[in-house]
Parts: sequence; C-alpha cells; structure tokens
Amino acid sequence: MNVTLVTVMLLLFGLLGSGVWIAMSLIATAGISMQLLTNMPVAKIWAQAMWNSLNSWSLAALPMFIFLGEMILRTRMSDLLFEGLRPFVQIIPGRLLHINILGSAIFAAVSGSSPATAATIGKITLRQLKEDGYDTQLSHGSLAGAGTLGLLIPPSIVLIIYGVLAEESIGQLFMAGVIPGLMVAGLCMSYVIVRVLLNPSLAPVKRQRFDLKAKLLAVVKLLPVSTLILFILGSIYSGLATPSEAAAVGAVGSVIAAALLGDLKWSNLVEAIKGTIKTSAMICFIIAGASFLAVAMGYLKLPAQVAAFIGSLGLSPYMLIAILTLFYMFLGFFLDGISMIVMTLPITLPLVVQAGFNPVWYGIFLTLVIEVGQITPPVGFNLFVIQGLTGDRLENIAMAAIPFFLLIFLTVILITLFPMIVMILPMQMAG
Amino acid sequence: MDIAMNAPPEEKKHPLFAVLVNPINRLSDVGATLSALIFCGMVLLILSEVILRNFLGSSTEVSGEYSGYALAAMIYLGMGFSFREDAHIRITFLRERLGAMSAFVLEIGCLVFVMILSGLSCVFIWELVLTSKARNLTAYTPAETPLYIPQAIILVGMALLTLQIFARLTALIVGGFQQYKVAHDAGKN
Repeated sequence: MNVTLVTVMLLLFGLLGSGVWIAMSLIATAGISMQLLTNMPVAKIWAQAMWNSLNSWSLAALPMFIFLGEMILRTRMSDLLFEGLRPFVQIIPGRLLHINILGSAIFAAVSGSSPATAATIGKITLRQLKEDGYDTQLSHGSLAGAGTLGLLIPPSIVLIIYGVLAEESIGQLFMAGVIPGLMVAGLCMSYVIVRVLLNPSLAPVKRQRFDLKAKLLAVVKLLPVSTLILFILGSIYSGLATPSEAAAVGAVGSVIAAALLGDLKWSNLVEAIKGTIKTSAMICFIIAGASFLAVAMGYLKLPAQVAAFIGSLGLSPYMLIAILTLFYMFLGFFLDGISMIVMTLPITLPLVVQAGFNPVWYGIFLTLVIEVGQITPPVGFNLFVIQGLTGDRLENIAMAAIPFFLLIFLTVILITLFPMIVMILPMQMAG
Repeated sequence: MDIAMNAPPEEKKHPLFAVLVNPINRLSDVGATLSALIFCGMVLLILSEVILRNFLGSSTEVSGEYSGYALAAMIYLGMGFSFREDAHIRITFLRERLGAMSAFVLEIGCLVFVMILSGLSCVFIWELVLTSKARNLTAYTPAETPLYIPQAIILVGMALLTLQIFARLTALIVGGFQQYKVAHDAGKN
C-alpha cells in the first residue's frame, strides 16, 4: 500500500469516526496531509480553497432552490398538492398510495432534497393512508422510495453540487435527471399496482367518487405548484435562463404564490429563510472542505495513482461501474450522499471518464446510487424522516423500503445498459 | 431569535453566560440577519438581470460576479448561527456507543480540535486578505471589484464560527459532566 493513500485514509476516517464535523474533517485531512507530505504553501492554498469554492455563480442556485422547497413546505401549497391529486388516483389500483409517489415526483420538481420531499409528502399522506386502512408496509415503503426522487428530478441539490465540482453544465444535468426520475416513479407505481392486484386487502375496497366539478376544482388546486415547475424547467430547457436565474425566479414565485393563496405570513418567511441559511451553510461548508481536499489530493498525486492502479487491473467498463456501485453502497452505510460525492469525485470521475462514460451520465448514476443510501440503515435519512412522522421502528421501515431499494437498483442497471435514457434530453437541449 | 439555545435555563445564571456565551450568541444572530439580507439581495439582483435581459434587452453586467460574492458572504456569515443550531452534520456512531464519561471527553476533544482549525482558517484568510490588499488584486470583470472586500467578509464569518465553537465549549465545561451525562443517556434511548 502506498504511504500517501494510507495517511489520507487514516486521517479522514479517524476524524470522521471520532465525530468531528464532516466539513472540518475534510479541511483537517487536506491541511495535515499536505503539511506532512508536500512542500506546498499550505496556508495559502487553504485560504484560497475556502474562498474560491464558494465564490461561485453556479452554486448560488443552491440556497434559492432550498428556499423554494422551504416555502412550499411551510405554506398551504403542499396540502393543495394532495387534494389536487386525490380524484385522479382513484382509478389506479392502490389509489391513495400513488399520491405518495406522484406527490413526491411533483414536489421533487420544485425541491432538491430527498428528506424534505419525504417529510412534506409524508406529513400530508401517512395519517390519511392509515385512517383509510391502507397497508402500513406499502405506504411507508413507497414514501421512503419515492421520497428519494427529490434528488433526481430537477431542480436537484445533488446535481447542482456535482455540476459545480465536475465543471459540467447544471442545466444539462437537470434535464438528464428527468427521464430516469420518471422511470423510478413509474417502476414504484407499477410495483404498487401489482401488489394490490395480487392482494386486494392491501388497500381499502371503498372507492371515493368525484364528480366533474370536483375534478375541475382539483386541477385548479394543482395550479400553484405546476406553474412553478413549468417556469423553472421551461426556462432552463429553452435556454431563457440559467439554473441560478431560474432558481431566483422560483424563489420569488413561491413568495408570490403564497401571497395569492393568502398564506404569506412574516413568521413563515423568517422560518423559511432561517432553514435556508442552516441547510445551505451545512452543505456549502462541506463543499468548501471537499474542494480543499480535492486540491490537496491533486498535489499528493492521489487521483493519478489510483487511476494507474485501476488501469493495471484491466477492468471492463461495466465491471468498473459494478465495483463503484458496491463501493458507494458500502459508503452509504456511514455517510450521507452529498459528503460521499464531494469526497470521492476527484478520484472516481477521471476513472469513469477514462473508461468511456459521459460525465453527465455519471452524475445521474451517482445520484441514483446515493438515493439507495437514503433508504438503507443506519444513516438513511428518509428512514429517519418516516420514523419521525410515524413513530414506527426503524427496522420495520427499512424492511418496507427493500422492494423500492431494488427498484432503484434496477434503474441503475437499466441506465448503465441503455445510457440513452439519460442522455436523450440533454442532447436535445437548446443552447 | 432565541439566545443560548443549547443551554438549559438554570445554566444561564452562571456569570460566564452573561459575559461570554450570550454576547457571542447575539453576534451570531447579527451574522445570520446579515446573511438573510444578503440572500434577499442576491435573489433580487439575479431577478433584475433576468428581467433586464429578456424584456429590456439590457443587463446588470455584474449579476454573475456579485451573486458569487453574495453566496460566499451569506454562507460564511451564517456559519456561527448554523453551528449553534446544530445544522452541521457529523457521524455520531462512536459517541452513541461510548460511556458517558468517554463521550464527554471526546466531545471536548472534538470542540477543541475544530476551534483550533477554525482559528487557523481565520489566520490564513486574514493573510489572504492582506495579500489581496497589498497587491491591489481585482476581479477579472468590468466592475474590477477589489477582492479583499468580499474576502474580508468571509473572514468575519469564520471569526463568528470560531467564537461560537468557543461558546459551545465553555457551555459544555461550565455545564459539567453531570449535565452532559443526562443528555447523553437520553440520546441513547
């Protein structure tokens, strides 16, 4: 084993394991290993990394999308989503269970976070599902699984971070996430339909009837959120606005929508901004630390050494992807998705590109693999969210999520075999 | 905003809270308020760029450059506040499995370590600010903004974080082992 790699690994996992905050562990690992193993001016590189990493126009989209999600969470817009979808799922076997999935997919299109998606949708659906007598396993599992769509369906916080670190177009990454996201939603819905057809007792027999007037009213209730989605995705896809600009329009749009619904309170606004600062500071500090670590690893020549080592193994591209999938799933037991991406990207991205994969495709692959981590214990954030909402045992929720875990895994295999699923929309994009 | 979120009511009576912890908490609140204002300013700046470009065929010219500064400023100024509110993530796997005494010592160790790290960051960023000022470094943009100005703002943010870590360490030590043990044991169940 080589000394550099061992030093970096020992420092990193030692600090992380002792409970030093993740961002600080990354900064310390970078600073200490550079001081020990190179003659570079560490102080200068340290300060430059902390400044350069966050002085970023692309990254400015991040807090604005977080704010947008916060506003929808704190206003009536999320309830309207449930009421609006309700009449239309009555004809699908499994009925309200599909609101978990469709609601998550729609909410994901205005929010970039997976736990936020699961929390927002779960808060509205889970109690109703229980009262109506839906199967607990299926309702918890489908929420856990579909909640992860928050990461994949644009705007996605993970894809913004990936775009900034990999220097890829965030607009293209957003578009690349659309079809795989819809695919995951479709697979989850199909699974629910099959389960309910095989065992009708999983969902209550009674079907609610809605007349035409109720259905029209439901469409109106979907308007606030769907207008926001249309504005955000439409402006990015057509090239009218950059993701950061679309985020600013969305942020202001959410405030206007809240005002039109008579739901704009000073306290909501203050809480939404506080939440935005906290989440953004947490994520951006990790990005700053990871950027410093990436620079340090570059000076330590680690990416080149690992690439040479992997190259000497003569792996086929599919084999490489299979190993990376296992590697990330393993890391997912200890780390959250964003930390995983930022820590490993400087090493894995060159490997994957060298093996002939497109960087945009790899962004979607990583996001899917990280989604899996959201619903596997012990640090699956979606599991904690559902535990918080229901008080059910973590093990039970994790068990309920297993089929949905497998469906996401299936999506990983499908996009690896058929990369066009990912690439077709970004290739069509204007600008 | 609440003051001394991490301390139970009886601890606020300790004299160190009045002279040290509470003022630091108030400084972090000021930082968070500035961060919120900068966030709003950034949204409005980018929005005006969208409107100017798409409807009036003009441009603010500085929207891209200044929103980068705004992001860095809002994140670093919000750092003390977000640390106090426990927004930053860490792995608690080991701590949850340790006895209360070991966990208490480990927590003090972690806080001392990150306080040194955060303090070092301040020193290094201070040197960066001085260099930028001495060499009259400006951005490669039409605005030619002197870089030491936005860099000085992130220095203020890191100083707030360092103070907030110091406040947390003080509160932990003043609170003592018994108080930590209660929280630790409650967290285990």
